[in-house]
Amino acid sequence: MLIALTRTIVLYLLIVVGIRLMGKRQVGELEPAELVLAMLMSDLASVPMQDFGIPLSYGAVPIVVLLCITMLLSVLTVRSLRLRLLLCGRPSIIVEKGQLLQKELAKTRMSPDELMEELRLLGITDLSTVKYAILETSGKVSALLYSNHQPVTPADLELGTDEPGLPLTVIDNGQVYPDNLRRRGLDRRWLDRELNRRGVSSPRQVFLMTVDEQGGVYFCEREDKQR
Amino acid sequence: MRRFWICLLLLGTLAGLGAWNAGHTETLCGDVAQLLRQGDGAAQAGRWGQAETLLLQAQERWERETPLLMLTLRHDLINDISSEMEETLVLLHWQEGAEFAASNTSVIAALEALAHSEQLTWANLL
Repeated sequence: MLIALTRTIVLYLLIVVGIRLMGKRQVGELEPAELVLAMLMSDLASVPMQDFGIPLSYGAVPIVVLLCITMLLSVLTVRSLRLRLLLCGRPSIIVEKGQLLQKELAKTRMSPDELMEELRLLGITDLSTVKYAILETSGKVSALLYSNHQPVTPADLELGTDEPGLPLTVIDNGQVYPDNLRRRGLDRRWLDRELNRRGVSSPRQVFLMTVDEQGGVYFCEREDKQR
Repeated sequence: MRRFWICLLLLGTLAGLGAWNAGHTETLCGDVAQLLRQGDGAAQAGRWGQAETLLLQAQERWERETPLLMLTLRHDLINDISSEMEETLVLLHWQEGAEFAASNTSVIAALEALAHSEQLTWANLL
């Protein structure tokens, strides 16, 4: 039992560190080599987790080797366009100037139904409004609409607007982030004043609080208040 | 580029450790097998005392390396060889000539197979 516990923790941490080093958060954003790595790592880790007759190194060494190779390829693909094209492929334009490129669709093995589905997920139901549609290397479709079908922006109407600020979290589930307070030019006294204004005596009673560059505050009190 | 060199270094280190492990396993198994063969020769010549000394040396050498072997080899293979050695020693102690020879040969074959399994050969790769 103890062996199972220890091995599981070790291998789990190894995978978490590995996935973290890959620098991606969602499977959908992974390049093909990274997707293969993610799939392999889980299988490699499960073998020594279940079979105690196998040394831990039988799982750990392949995982480390795969991570190293992936990292090496990542660095090399950044530096070499040829290698990047070889490993990741290139995006395919499947709609160009409103025209469906049927040969390109066939080459990418994408059916018109699948294309319509991807466009609907982008909020586009009318293909005639699409100027360009591109099948990215990640497998997702991105689309550029004709200008007269794009949402109107304040710039189009020549309207001036206030620039939005980037909210930084200053309290997260009761925990204060002093670095973020400093980044906004604020301090603990300001925070205490703001909390008092909102009828809260301690950061532990706050679920989420953010401050943007204009000083705009988002405040959310905890439902189960800790005293 | 720092990550690139770190990963390259790590891969090189793992390759080096793997090569060292293969060489070390081959040497260990070779040494232990040689002692077992010498013991077999002594037993066939009727020098049971000498044979027992040689086999105990072989066993002691094997047991000394077992913790390291457990890090890189399947535990059941190591345990099988250890228990077969014990059995061989018992047969030697009771001077069971034919059975001792058969058991000893089995241990030698297992050691040679173990050494071979760690080498970088086409047979192992494929």
